[in-house]
Amino acid sequence: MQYKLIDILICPECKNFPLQLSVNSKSGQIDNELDGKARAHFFKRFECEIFCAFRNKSIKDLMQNKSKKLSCNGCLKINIISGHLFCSKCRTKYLIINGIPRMIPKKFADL
Amino acid sequence: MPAGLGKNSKKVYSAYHRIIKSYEKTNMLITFFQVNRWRKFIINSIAEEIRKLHIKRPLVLDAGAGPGFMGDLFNRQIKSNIILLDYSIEMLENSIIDCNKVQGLFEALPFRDKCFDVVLSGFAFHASIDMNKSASEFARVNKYYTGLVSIGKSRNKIKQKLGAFYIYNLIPIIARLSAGSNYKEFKKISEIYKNIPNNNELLTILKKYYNIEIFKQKAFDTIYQIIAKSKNNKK
Ligand SMILES: [Zn+2]
Ligand SMILES: [Zn+2]
Repeated sequence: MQYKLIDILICPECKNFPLQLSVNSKSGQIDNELDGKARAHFFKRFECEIFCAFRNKSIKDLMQNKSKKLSCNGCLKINIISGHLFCSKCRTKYLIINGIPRMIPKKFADL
Repeated sequence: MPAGLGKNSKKVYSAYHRIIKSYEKTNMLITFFQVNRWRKFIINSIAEEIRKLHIKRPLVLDAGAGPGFMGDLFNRQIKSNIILLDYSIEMLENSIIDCNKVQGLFEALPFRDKCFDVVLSGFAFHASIDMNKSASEFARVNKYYTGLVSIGKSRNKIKQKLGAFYIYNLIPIIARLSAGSNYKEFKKISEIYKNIPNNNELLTILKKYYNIEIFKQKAFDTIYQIIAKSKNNKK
């Protein structure tokens, strides 16, 4: 899965957003060319809409940080293979295995 | 790009590839080769509307994606960000498109409100555990259009009997001959048909959360095609 998926994922138990990402393994690298191109565009700088897990910051914060002009497109070629997502509100942990986050609420876990 | 299985993927893929092929072959046979046509009607109609809205790279959810047939067809019409959601990890790991995938349930979609321009679901909505909850979740995450094609039931008693005859007696035979290890998937259809509401009852559920734009029925009303626009009102 790509970092930008975190920008739309919520906790299926309590609907909290954003979830905290921990990465155990990933493949691919930051794409500097893509990143540079994105930075040159004021409006296309951010692939994420609200929260960028790659920068671990809200887009609002990233926009305000003028001294360090950041984009969040450099991460598009990185594939998170394993790790987990954590909901700080209801303290549920969701595993990421083989690049797929397992987002099944507890009460449905034994389907 | 998301690869999942990494270096071993090729070996494993070929085995699963056969399973998915036999799965789709069975879909074709039990629908008299109409399955793709029924999917495409939904895809093409929604793609046309999305083009009118000038949305670049729409974010599209394929809910109950299986290997991602609906998402793949849509992506051929309009280059999109496709997200596949399914309960089956096996299907997701062997999807036919390279995109982000999530294991999840219709009744508790793990996505933000209104984040998807389009929500698609092909031959999956009938299997939802709680249709009312699923419909409300589909509408919650959807900004513009939702397209459903699925197994339904006529409200007309005669058509209902004809549909039941086909589903209870003929599908199991066809599936037994062609589905291989997917046979179980198709056995479920009989159980599902018994339990689903008729298509009018389904529309009543959907109308709580959606404005229905297109509603069509096929094959003694055992198949419905629905295009709906999310009301997206805060409950
Ligand atoms: Zn980002
Ligand atoms: Zn939570």
